[in-house]
Amino acid sequence: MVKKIKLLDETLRNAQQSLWATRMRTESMLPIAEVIDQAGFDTVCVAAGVTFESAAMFLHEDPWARQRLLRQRMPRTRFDVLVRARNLWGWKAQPYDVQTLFLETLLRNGVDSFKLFDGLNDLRNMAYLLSEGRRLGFMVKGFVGFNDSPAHTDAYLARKAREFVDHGVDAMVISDSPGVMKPERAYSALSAVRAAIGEMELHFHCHTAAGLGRDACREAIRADVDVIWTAARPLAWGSALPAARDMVAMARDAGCEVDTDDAALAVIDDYFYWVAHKEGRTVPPEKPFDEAYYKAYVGHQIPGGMISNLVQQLKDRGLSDHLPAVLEEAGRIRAELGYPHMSTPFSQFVGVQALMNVTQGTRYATPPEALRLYARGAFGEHIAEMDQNIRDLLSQGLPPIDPLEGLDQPILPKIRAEFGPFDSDEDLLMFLFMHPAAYQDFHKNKKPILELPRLHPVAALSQEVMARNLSHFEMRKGDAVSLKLSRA
Amino acid sequence: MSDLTYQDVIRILTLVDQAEGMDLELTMGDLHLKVVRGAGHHPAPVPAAVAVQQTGVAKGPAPATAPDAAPTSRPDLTKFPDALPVLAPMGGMFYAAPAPNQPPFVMVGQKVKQGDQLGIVEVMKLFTPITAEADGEVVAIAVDNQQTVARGDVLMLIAPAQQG
Repeated sequence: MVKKIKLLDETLRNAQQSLWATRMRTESMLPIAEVIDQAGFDTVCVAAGVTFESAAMFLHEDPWARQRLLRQRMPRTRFDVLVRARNLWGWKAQPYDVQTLFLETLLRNGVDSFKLFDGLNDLRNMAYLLSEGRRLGFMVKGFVGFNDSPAHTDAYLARKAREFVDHGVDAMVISDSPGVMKPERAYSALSAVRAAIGEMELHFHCHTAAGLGRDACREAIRADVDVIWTAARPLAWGSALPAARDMVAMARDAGCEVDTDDAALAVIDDYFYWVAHKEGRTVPPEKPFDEAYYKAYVGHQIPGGMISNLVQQLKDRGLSDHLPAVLEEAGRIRAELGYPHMSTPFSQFVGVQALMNVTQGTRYATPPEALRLYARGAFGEHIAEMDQNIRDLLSQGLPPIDPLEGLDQPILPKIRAEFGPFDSDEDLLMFLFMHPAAYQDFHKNKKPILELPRLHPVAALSQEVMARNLSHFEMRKGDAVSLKLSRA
Repeated sequence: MSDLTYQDVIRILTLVDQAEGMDLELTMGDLHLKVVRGAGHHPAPVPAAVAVQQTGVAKGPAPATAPDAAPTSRPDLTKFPDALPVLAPMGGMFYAAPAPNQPPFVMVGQKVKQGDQLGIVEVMKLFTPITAEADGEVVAIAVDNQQTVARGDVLMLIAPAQQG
């Protein structure tokens, strides 16, 4: 039987988060939504935690309205979101009543699947969401994050995937978000996971900053992965993820079947070139493997957005030349902390502590409170044992903390009484997504979402030409298109 | 896909804009292009639609430290030669209170014990507690709540308690 490969589209979520700082407006999404719906994607990812905050705070848009508008235009395709375990979207663990309300509200706004992720891959942090997701009828995907470390062995990934399966997920995702999986590692890791989970649907996600994505995906397919995460070409490659049409071609070359509508994929690519052009966004080239970048990066694996923040912090202090020392120190801290997944909040723990260790001259002199709690287990079980001395230093002899402590205490009645009434559950969640001042700003500045038609390219060209100071413009393409504009 | 793609449009506009101030006539493959400039030969203005959208993008949150963030009453620190300074361990945002609607950790005149929390410095959403290094009395607070501080800035002064 011919192997089938499916695509999960991340253009509207992970790709724009990686390349456009999550600043794509809904009015840029809606005109192409019907085409995306026809393109044959397995799933379209429409949000993660940062999507809500960014839409509200920077675009002054209601992210729930975006989901509903997308759903109206895309009745056929499954939607999913990325859920950051019990934190749901940010830094704080949310009690179970908030977790349930979040899932119910997602469902009501058109989302029917979610990927469940915890930076420590600790199932305890996800078990409640998983069972609630299943109760409500979501397709639940377990998501195991890969980093390059002595702790992230093939056996570890397989064991974690198996734990998810035992908890009743519908599909599994292996995600190389730092983009450091070499092809042979992708093959061995995904083969081990496949062996551990049996026939279950298996996804592979990777970022491509080091230029490893194409080969890693090829090997993942060889290791019997079913779904590859991709983006439209103008938001693909670079620090984002592989381009959809490139992956289709690659999978077919490897003898696999891909049921996408290739004409629709081409229209989607072309449309997003236009959006990128209008927004002044650069389309990254696809790079081959960049060994120098890889070697400088793999020690710390700090996300790109965070590195630019560190650079700024050092610059503000006149310490720009300390960056290599900070990154090297980050590599040390990562090991001492037991290799937590390098994403929020753990990438901040590592990055900020590295900055402080280097600029203060004494290691761990004034650790942030959250890091002390981490050492005591408040965020979950560490992926590897922490360095014993650092653990003692940070925990100050205080007892371990149960990460689930207090989560069964409802908080919604108190929030409604103290800060309500809210317009809706969606509104209440926006209040929880943001700090109070940002929530008030959002209500004050919220703008209606424009529903614009997708301009024909000729109309777009005419508009642009008319905005320029030309007395005569003439264009002909073959026998098919001819445009002549003259000013009287 | 239509006969003219958006990518064609971008190529054409790039050609038009790069030939700024010049007339242009080009035939390349099946594409023919002819552009005659206006009498003034002004540089191409940015299309209005684009300008509007870019304003929208730039509209981030207002910077946290508005110009009026100058300290309301900066005390004269030289008045307390015997007091010990509490220094910011790192640059960031100083918070005097545990939460927006709560009283500050300490106020001038308050007695503190070693290890008592005096404030918080936040950087990249990570909150570092500032604690008293010795028993004493807070005699001056040099920064306002939510003021940006640099590493080594004096946050407050503590007069050490008498030994014995």
